[in-house]
Amino acid sequence: MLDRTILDQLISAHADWLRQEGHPVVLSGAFAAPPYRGSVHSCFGPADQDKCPENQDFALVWTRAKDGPGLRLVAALADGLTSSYRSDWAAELACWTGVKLLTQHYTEAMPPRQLAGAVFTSVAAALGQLCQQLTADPEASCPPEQFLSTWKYILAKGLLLQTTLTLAWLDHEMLRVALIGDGGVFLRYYQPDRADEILATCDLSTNLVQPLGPGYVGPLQEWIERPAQAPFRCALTTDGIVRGLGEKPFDLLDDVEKRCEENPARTYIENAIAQRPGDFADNLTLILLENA
Amino acid sequence: MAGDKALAATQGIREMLMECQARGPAGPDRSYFKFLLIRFDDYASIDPQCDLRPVRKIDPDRIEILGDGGQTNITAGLELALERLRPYMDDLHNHAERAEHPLPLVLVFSDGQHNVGNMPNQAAQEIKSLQLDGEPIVIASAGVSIGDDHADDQTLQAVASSGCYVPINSAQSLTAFISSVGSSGASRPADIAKVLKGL
Repeated sequence: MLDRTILDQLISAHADWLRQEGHPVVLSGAFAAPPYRGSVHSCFGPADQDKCPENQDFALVWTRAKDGPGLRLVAALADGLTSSYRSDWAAELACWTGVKLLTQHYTEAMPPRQLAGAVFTSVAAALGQLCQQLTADPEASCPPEQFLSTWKYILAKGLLLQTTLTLAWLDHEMLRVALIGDGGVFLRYYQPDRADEILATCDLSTNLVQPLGPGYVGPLQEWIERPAQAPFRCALTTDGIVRGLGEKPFDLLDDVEKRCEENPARTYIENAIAQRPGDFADNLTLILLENA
Repeated sequence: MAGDKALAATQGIREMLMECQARGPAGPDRSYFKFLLIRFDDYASIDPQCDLRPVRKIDPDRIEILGDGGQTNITAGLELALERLRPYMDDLHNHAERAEHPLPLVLVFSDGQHNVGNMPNQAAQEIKSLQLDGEPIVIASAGVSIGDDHADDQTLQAVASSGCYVPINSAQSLTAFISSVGSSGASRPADIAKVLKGL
């Protein structure tokens, strides 16, 4: 029988380190690392969806406790694939591993893109390690609702633990985002001559996605660097939010600009679920970052 | 169908089921597909554990194809399929998610010459005339000619939808035909033909 023990063991070392060094915000909450601040919210989405009962998205934002060298704010969100077994675990493991490794190994000497590539490779390796533990004893790891032959087939074909991953961080007054999968990244500068930018989005005409999986990492699908000195607001989202926004992605930023709650990400998602459940029929995750 | 061919067909069906079971949200009641298995020799019969049953309720290890060397009545197989498909399609017309619902796909494979009863063309035509919003049901067929057996290529080609017939000359190809086409989720002739080309 598959239980969370294996996953918790893999996560605990990362979580302990991140708690010792700073403040992790898991799934929902507000955070600040002046001059930057923001909010995060992740939830199942509208009820009665044709999805697993678990929220297969995950989100984690970490801020450093003390002044000093190194990264001060790292955000991660991941969207486990609906059709991939235990992708909710994959999303969770990817976020904890990605944030921890990025924070721990960041140095000013290493080119950020190179660091991001190495971190994504390590995340894939961590998923591979989890997969290996499940594969070592298929009889023990076989879920109760699954035929054993099918479970062995899923393990052999690697049809499990697949997730997207978006990692964002701020260093040297630059916003950097690395992404694999179909997440959205929308940026607005509050300067008269700057147009809104869609830095990443999903293909609204298809659900196809190239995810991270056990031991596999493709090239980074998006690598984004933008100045972060001027006032800005950036939304990092899973594809459920992107699809709900449709052709008007900046409605999201228009909406949150008017809000003064502690967690505008949460308010936005709760309103979307209440007002347009059909459009936002997915697990929903949103991270808002801003230079206030 | 016996020997290596029967093993290959059994393996193909098991892989198709496992692939279909691996799709979609977890849970035994969340099948994306249903499966109807008809065996035919002199007569045709439905496998009771695969009578339009949701795939996640079927144990792949309990599926077996093992012929007893009888005759080949392709017509009986298609007529039995038609008997099940007619009410299924009637239900689809009233389905709440009719616009998104995929159509059934019929796979026919045989290693023998059709040599009992009427020619299967009429039953095949009736299946292919079943449609939902102008989209017809597709029949993909395979003539299995391995060793000394020679399939009835002409008949099997005639029952297939346009571009959806493939000759099979190895056990591996038979497994791939059943598992790949059966689990493709495709139900339009052009999409099926694309899968067949990739075999």
